[in-house]
Amino acid sequence: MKDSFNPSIEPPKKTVTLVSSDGYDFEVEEEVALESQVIKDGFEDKAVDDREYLLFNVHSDTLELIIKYCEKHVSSRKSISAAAASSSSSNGEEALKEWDEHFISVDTNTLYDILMAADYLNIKSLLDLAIQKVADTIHGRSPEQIRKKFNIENDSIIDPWASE
Amino acid sequence: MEASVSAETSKRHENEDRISHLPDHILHYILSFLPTKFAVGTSILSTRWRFLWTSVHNLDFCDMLLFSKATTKKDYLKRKRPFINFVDRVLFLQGKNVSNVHKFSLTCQDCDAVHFNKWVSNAIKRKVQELILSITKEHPSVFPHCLFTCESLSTLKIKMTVYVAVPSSICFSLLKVLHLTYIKFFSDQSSVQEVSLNLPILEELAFYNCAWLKIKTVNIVVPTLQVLKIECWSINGSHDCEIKIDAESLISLKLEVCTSYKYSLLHLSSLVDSSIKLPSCHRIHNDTTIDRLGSLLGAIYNVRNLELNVESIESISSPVFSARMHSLSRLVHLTVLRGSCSTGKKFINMLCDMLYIETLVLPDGLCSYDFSGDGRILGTTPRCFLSHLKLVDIKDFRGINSELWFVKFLVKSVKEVDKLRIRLTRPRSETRVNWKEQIIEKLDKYVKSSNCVLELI
Repeated sequence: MKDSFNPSIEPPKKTVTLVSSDGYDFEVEEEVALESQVIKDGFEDKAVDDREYLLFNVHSDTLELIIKYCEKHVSSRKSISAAAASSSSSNGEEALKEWDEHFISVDTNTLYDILMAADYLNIKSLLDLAIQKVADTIHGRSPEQIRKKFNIENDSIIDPWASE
Repeated sequence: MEASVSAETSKRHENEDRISHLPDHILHYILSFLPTKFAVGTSILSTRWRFLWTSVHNLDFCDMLLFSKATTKKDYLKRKRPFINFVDRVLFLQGKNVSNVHKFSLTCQDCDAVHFNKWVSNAIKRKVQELILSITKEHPSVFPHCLFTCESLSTLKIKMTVYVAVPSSICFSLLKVLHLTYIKFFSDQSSVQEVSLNLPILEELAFYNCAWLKIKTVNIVVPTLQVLKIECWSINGSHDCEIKIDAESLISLKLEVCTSYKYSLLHLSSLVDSSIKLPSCHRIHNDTTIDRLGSLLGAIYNVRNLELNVESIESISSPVFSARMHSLSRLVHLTVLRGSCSTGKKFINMLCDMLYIETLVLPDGLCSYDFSGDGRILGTTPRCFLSHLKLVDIKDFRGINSELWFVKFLVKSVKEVDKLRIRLTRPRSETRVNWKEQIIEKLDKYVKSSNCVLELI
């Protein structure tokens, strides 16, 4: 972490191909793909020319968003640690939080897609971000408001709490 | 083409209940992010949701949430019973389903000893990792002893006025975060006066207004500690107890007052950030207090970024501490926060001791300083005065005389300043339309004769 980031001496970037459920190829940098714990586990065992992952559960629309998120987090981490190494003040973490907030402000359907993909790919920080967003929607709302918000149909024959 | 497909997909989902079709483990995870009141509340949404909450590993009870309308004391007493019943019932139903608890958080105004002990013991028995307790009213009995047998804890935060009997040796081998507020520690064997805390992987430690009774020495060994905060605002009386904290990896240190006990901070060679708030100097009257402060200031010798309040300046600028400040050879960023009034002379004296600072930040402006009188004499600073200073950042600049004087003084006495960054704030009493222009004109005049760049934000 203490090494400062110097792009000029970096070797050429290695890439990984991610294939979405609807058959689109996405070529991403290795370190971006490694944000996914699922890809990271057993990554070293895979031959270099065989680094292609078929993501049967992730649609291209969602994958595009996931890659955008991972790229942003990889680059922000680098600039934050570079700022720390030169002990210059930076508001990198705050800026990233703001970016996250904006990123996750999507419609409910996209939110589910991100949620499921983050769970499938095991990207902890993204999963937490999406879960928090759903939890915030439930927090402080009445059951009726929650049902309406999420289109939940009340199929209980007797409402066990109705008398209270 | 692609866009129309995706539009169709989202249209298809428009009125669908997708959340209920998420797998159980994700729904459990969502509920674990909610206070228990709201997690339990989802049980009436539909049959799918009825028992989901009982598999959640996080429990977060807060009486204010449960009875937010209970504002008066009478109301509160009436609703205390339902709150106790709620916690009891949740622990029973959830306990049947889930053997371990990840997080147990209890926030309430008042809690009787019987229930408190039962709940805390329950959480500890179920290998709780995060234990957060915050109770407003003074607790009637001694804290349950089983806390010290809890090996599973990774986070422990207790904020309550309670007596805690500590054994002579404590070890939390998995603990990473420890925050203790208002706790009164005493030795559980009157013959033992020394307590040692062994926290091999602790990263964050905070003591807020804690007391150590009938204990002579507290040894805290925390080799991985990064953040340490000690606040102790009780200035009445000083106690004999010495608290030794050995923190060789410490990066950030925050101290407020801290003179009631003798804090010995050892091996702080990796310290980078420090924030210090001292009482104003008229409260530092006896030798013990001076000794204690001196040793604290001595411990931060390696600090790079230092934040002070104005009262600290008063104290630090006294000759007893001046040498301590002089030896802060790695200090490069200095921030001074607002406080009650300080004389400008002491501020400038202190700056004379800080030989190597490159940045000076005054986030609350300079209203608290009084540069009238002695402080205004120019040309009395040593030759090497702030010779490394590159940036002066003043926020909340109101353009009052003392502020203008300080800027003029700095630009004149420190030739090397590259940049002067100022954020102007119009005082409420200011009625002149061209107030801003007038201030800017004055500032421009000051910097014109130097290499300094004026940046207004």
